[in-house]
Amino acid sequence: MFGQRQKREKWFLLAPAMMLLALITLLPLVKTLWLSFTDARITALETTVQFIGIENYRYALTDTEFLDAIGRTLYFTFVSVGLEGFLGVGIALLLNQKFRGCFILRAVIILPWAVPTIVNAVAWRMIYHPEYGALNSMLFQLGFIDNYRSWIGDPATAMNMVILADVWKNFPLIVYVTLAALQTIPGDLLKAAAVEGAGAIKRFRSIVLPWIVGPLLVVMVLRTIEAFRVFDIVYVMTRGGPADSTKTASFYVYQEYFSYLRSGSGASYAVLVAGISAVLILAYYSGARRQNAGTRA
Amino acid sequence: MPSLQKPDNETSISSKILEVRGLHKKFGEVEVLKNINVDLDDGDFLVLVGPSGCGKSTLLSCIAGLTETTSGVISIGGDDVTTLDPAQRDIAMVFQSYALFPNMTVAENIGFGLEVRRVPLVERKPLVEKAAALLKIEDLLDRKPAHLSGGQRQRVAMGRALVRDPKLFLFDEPLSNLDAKLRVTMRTEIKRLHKRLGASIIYVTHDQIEAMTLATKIVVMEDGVVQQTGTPREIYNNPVNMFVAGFMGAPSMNLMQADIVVKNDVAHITIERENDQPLVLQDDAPPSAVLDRQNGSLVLGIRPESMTDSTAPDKQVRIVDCLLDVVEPAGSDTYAVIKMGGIEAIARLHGEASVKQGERTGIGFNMSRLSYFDPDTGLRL
Repeated sequence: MFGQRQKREKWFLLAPAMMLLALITLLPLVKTLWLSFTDARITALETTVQFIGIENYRYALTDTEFLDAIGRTLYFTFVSVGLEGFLGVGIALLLNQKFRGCFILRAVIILPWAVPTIVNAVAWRMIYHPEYGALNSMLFQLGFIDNYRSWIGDPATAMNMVILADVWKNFPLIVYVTLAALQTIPGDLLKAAAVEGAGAIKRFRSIVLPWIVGPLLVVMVLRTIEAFRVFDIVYVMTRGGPADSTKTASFYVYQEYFSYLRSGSGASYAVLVAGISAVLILAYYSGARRQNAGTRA
Repeated sequence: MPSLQKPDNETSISSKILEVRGLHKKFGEVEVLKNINVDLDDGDFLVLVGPSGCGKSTLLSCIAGLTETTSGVISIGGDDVTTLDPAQRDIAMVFQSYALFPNMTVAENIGFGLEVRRVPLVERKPLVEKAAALLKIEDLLDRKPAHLSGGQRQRVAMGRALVRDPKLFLFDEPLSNLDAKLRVTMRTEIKRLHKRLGASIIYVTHDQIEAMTLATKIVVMEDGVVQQTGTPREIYNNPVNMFVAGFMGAPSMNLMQADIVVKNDVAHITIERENDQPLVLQDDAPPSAVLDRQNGSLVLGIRPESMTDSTAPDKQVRIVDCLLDVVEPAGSDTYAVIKMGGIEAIARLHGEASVKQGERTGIGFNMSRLSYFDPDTGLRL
């Protein structure tokens, strides 16, 4: 009796939130899925929309430009997140030491992450400026380059420059999550390992890394999902250029949908990008479950 | 790194398992260890005991190499290890928190030190199994620490220490996280293990019962200073000062204000009692230091078991009528509180003693077990 009443109350209380969720998430998702099977276009005039089956998907999967964009996005994602992870863990290990000024440094390190992405992108565009950018000036004065270069105007360097800007903005998140995890390691574990004869590298591999791997995995996968959807920093810094060298999947979808106004095929691209993201989300869930299973004593 | 300055009273390093000479440790301006001198013979079980904050764990940490010393010399097996890393000292340590690696199985935990030393798996496995068998944890080798009870974790931590056969074992309050019953069981097992292996052990505890039951040698510390070093019997029967007398033993020694008058080498002791006539005792063979003082005030120490309702004839026992302020039956014993000498002195009576609160009863004072202390310095006379 009581259980049934509780069940009814539960659904009654959940209903408003579920309706809101359906309105803002489910409805657009269903609409996008439907559009992806049509030849719909965004026009001022009323046009008939034809159901064309999997034609958009067949085209998308043979569209070399789209596949290139996926390739670039994967490159951006893995290089960017890899560097963020490497830098983040390294700096967190450093900040976990006790030294004069460590508290100030711990506070300051969050600043890049606190800066809005657009501001970060504009700042880095100025740093990369071919005539008065700080990067050219610094590298020239240090003797690394003979002439000022257009770092984001050159297809060979543009993507890596965008990655650098993205890494600078996002590595503090990994620093903070890692630092928080590091500070939960009982000091006795590291002392015991030291007494047993383990050096710094062995202690990191056998004690520290297994301890922080759960939280680290979660933040890395979250960053991977975010990086795979990258749009804003590319839009502000390069608009996908030069020569499409920084055109990522999200940017490709944006162009297909809002520049070329092909909402049908744009929707199919969006569904494919969301599908790849879903794979990454699954990885996140499996990582989170592994963390919850926990092996901590 | 610590400087090898001349210790305050001794400089030679012999071939004992452990020698600590003139050790000082400062954290900023606070000196937590002051001129520590400790020896350990091969096969000894040395217990560092003292109240919280006395510096015993810091001393152990210095011996392990986990804390740098400010000055002094530490030698293990005759080698000066003062500036060496923990790994180079050939020691093993069991921590209060057990410090088991949560991501490793019991077998991996036990074999960690061997793995670090690149002992091949074929050699490592039987050593791990042997240590596990010794500690009766053979069935747990594939489990992770999270799936073990407190007692099992304790055994794994000991297994990790045992497997390498080091020169010196260090135990930092290893039983304090266990419940009272398991603590007694593990205490017995540690003692049995020590006897079987003949290992040299330094064991830190604040529990004086643990110290008395396990040690072959006790070092009592207070405020960063070694108060007394000796066998459990020496520490218990002949405490060098009022701190040691009060700290060791449960219930602790009764330390009462007393007046003394010496006549013909006999000490006549008067102790004031609340709501009663002063207690007068006569010690026919007081220590010479008491005789030298002739008359005056001092602190008289007597253990509860030397104030009993024993009716056995003993010429050393003086039976005096005392008013029992509180009676506390504790099963095997009955404790009676007597307000005397400015304290609530405790007498240890038989468990079946038929005494009641507020009653007067004859308490036998064993005059051969009296201790005398200087009230100003606290030192034994």
